[in-house]
Amino acid sequence: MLVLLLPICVGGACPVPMVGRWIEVLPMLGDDHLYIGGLPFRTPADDEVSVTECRFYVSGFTLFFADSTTYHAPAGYQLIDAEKKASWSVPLPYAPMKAVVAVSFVVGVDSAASMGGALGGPLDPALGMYWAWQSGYINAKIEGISPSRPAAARHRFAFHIGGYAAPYATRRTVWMPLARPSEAKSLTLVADVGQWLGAAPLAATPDVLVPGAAAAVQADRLAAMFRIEGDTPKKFFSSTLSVDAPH
Amino acid sequence: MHLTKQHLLLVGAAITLLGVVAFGPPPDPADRGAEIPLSNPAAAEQAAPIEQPAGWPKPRYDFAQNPRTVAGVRLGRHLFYDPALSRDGTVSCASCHLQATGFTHVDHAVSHGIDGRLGTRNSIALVNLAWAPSFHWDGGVNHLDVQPLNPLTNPAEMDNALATVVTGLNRSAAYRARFARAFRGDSVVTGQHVLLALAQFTSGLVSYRSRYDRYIRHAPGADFTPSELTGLTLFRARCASCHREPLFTDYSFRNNGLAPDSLLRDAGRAGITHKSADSLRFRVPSLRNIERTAPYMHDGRFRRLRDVLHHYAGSFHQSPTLDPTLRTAAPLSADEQKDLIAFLLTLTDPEFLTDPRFAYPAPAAD
Repeated sequence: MLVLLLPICVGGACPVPMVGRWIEVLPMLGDDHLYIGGLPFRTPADDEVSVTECRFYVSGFTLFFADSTTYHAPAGYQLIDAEKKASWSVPLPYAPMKAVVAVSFVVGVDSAASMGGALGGPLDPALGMYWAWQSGYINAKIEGISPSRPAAARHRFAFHIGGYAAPYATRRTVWMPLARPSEAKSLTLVADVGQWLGAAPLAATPDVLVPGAAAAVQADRLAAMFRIEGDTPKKFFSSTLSVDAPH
Repeated sequence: MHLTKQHLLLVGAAITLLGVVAFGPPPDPADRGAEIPLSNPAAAEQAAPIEQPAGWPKPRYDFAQNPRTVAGVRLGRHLFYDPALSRDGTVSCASCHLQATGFTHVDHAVSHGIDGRLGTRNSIALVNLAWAPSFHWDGGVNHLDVQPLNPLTNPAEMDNALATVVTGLNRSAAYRARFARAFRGDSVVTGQHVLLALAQFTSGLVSYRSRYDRYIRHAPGADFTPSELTGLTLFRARCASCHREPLFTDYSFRNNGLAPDSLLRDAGRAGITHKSADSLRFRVPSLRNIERTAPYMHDGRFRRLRDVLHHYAGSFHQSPTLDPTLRTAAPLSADEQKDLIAFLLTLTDPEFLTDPRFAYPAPAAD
């Protein structure tokens, strides 16, 4: 079967046929695609930013169908890297083609992994998403430059969001009802970094590179940057430690 | 000065020889070095469990997640002794963790890394790590596997990145072969495998063959002098609540009354927990091989064991987090300090300090 397919693959990008559906994560900066090191963008908080790195972990995709059934993607983390398009597709193998009314997923890595020693694959510490001096994964990392940071070397800003211990756990479950049910094979999940960075003025937001209260605030902001493309930007998120239903 | 040092080495070597004769060979000959050729996969994958000394608790480290094999331990040893892990290829793990000094950095209050950069803390003796629930003077590291990320990436130590180390190792045919032997034929070096191999080596650094251990086990001829016996009794009454036998630590974090260093400004455990109650608290270190692991304390401020005892004799810096056991402690007399030191010297484990399994690997070792 593969042998038959190989000759029609060009340029090394051979899509492996899969039964099921996809989530396409689309890193955006406002209305534009997010280009790493690209032109400056003015955030809703009126900061001019240029993003030099943007990576975050997602897992646990769940589709909620109109007929009240659900689909759970297989366990496993995916590291979305705004610079690597190959990392943007999240396969949902054998997901039925029924109308989706809501999607949920998790941003970040759970405490078991953060306490589990040296892990492999997308969790390999060599990927630079693991802290050294205080064990645990960095759930999401965004770095860039902005004139709103005149005091910083090269006007750099950096948010490394992580920490698995209460009360400052930073893993977030995002739950998004769709305005219109969708039967599309591929759902586009927009990650609007402009929303995240625009949640507050950079001048009033010091870099976050350690777990703690500030990281938890940033975790809420990054969880709020997602929306399903073509849908109203109505979304909910909750801390996974919270016992409350999505509010 | 040099003469004194050489004398010490000679005495050490003499003790070592006596020790080997008296205690017999290490119990796990399969793991002793490069004697067994690993070209045979069966030999490479042979299990190499750590020693479980009689009467000790079970190790905390979950060996089911990282089963020790002969090839994995040898690979870990190669990595431990390889300066290529540092950014400029000058510093290895062993630079600050020398076997002869109980796997710590003798004569250095705080350790130095590449370019002679100074850190802020005294390197900890690597001993009985499989039993430790957390690592570092501040307990910031929660698993033995990920501990090496600190010295690897700290600018004052090896100033490197794990990804860079992985790239370098993948360029080495010798290392690719070692990784294949250690990880079921997988010759692609990953960060995970580097860390797992290092943990296979460091988890095996078990010190349990000191004179104290022989005395506790009623080994023939393992008698204590009256001073050592008095020291043991004193130790159990005055020190063992924190330095709990048989590991000689309870792995807690405590403020032992050291005046804070105004230059280093090290808050200890509070740097991790951000709790004022943890201010100036540091890990209670194991006392095994304490004779060799000078200098002492988290910042290496005491060069001699008698300075340590003098500190515990009652000159505590008063602060809100000073450990309650020290607030009410009766002073230690000069005789008591001497007897305690006599006892502490029985914690030296010459076999551990010279065990060929832990030594610098022969250049041809696979």
